[in-house]
Amino acid sequence: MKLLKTKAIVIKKTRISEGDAIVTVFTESSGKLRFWAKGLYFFRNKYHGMFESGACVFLTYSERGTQGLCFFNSCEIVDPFKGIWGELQRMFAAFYFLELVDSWLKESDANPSVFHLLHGSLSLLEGAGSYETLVRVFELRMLALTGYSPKLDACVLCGKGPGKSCLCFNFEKGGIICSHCSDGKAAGPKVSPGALAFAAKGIAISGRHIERLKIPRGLAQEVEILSHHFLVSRLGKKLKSYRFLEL
Amino acid sequence: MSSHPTAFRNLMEELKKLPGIGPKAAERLAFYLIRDGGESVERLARALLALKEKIRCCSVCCSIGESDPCGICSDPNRDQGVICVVEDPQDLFAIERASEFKGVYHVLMGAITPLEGIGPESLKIAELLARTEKNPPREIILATNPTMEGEATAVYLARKLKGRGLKITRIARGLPIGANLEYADEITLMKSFQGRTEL
Repeated sequence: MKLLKTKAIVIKKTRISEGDAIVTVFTESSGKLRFWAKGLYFFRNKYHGMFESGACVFLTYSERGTQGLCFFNSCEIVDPFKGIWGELQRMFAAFYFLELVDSWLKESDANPSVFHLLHGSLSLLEGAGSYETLVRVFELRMLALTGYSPKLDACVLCGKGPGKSCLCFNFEKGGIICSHCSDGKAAGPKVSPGALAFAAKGIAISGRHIERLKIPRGLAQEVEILSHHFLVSRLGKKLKSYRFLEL
Repeated sequence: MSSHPTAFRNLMEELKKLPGIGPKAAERLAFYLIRDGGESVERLARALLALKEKIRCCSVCCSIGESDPCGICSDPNRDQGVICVVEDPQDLFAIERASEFKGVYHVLMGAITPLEGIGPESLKIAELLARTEKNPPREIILATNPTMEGEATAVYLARKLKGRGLKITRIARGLPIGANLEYADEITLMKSFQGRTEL
């Protein structure tokens, strides 16, 4: 059987018996994969502590068998993201990123850009002063990299630029609707030009510049509408780990 | 449609609900139970009924026992001033097997697991806070598992208990006996160095 090698970020492990686990990872080359880790929970297993959520590992595995599970061959830790451990908000933000990737992408749906986004975001989280901006940018970049970017530069109905008029964000249409097209009726929650500008920057920004961005004062809720609420509306379900960011 | 007798099928259905038991294992277990003319069935039934009748949750430590408070909480030889916080009753029994700890316990019945939506309100954290407020101990040892979830639970508890004048400690993390340094992961090695002791 052909052995494959790739970098991967551990999403979660599910115990299935006394010693065995099903581990879900997000790989750089093959997307999300699940594999059976035999004896993982036994202390003498040399891979015992390697599959912690959020750790970046170098994985050798063989292609999936009849039950849709890959066969794990060996593993080495590349980056455990030590800085995340021990700080509650960083750990909760890491869990949220992992759940979002797990829920948003299908198995074997390869997307190296999302892998680099997740890896970069976990690295930034290690030294992040404020995780809030990072969470919003992660959501916006995730939408953009998977082709679900919200349309923020023009009204989705008439195509005219937003200008300085009052705008609504329509989840169904996936973009803004100008006051003229909405005709006074509420086509969605209101968003200000400041929030739109932040979201547009968040969609376009590259990893190393994220730290320069900051959510404008008083616009956190509007930015949340454009990123998190839009993402949830597209996903069709709430993410369990999101509420933990408020703890 | 299954051709098994109804009683046999019902047993298989109940066994299948147990963790780690699939249809094949359930069938094998059911055949095992009837192989000696039903003696095994009677013993198992008696044990299950005794479990239901005698085992209860301790109102002090939230662990399981045959009395309330449990044997450990009501033992006058245990140091009530030191509380060891663990995730599950299995962890409590593992520590008891080591015969090193002479204090009392508090069982959280799980750990904060954001990926499954298990938050502090689903655990016995409120009970721990009430208990420590009523009878403040000298020390609280956080002995949750050294996983991301266990770590998050320990940090959350430390934050909640801070400011009460209690000594809060975390169990040491590092290399297990018989392990090989070469194969240890970075986090384990990092924690081993942080928790090193003078000889």
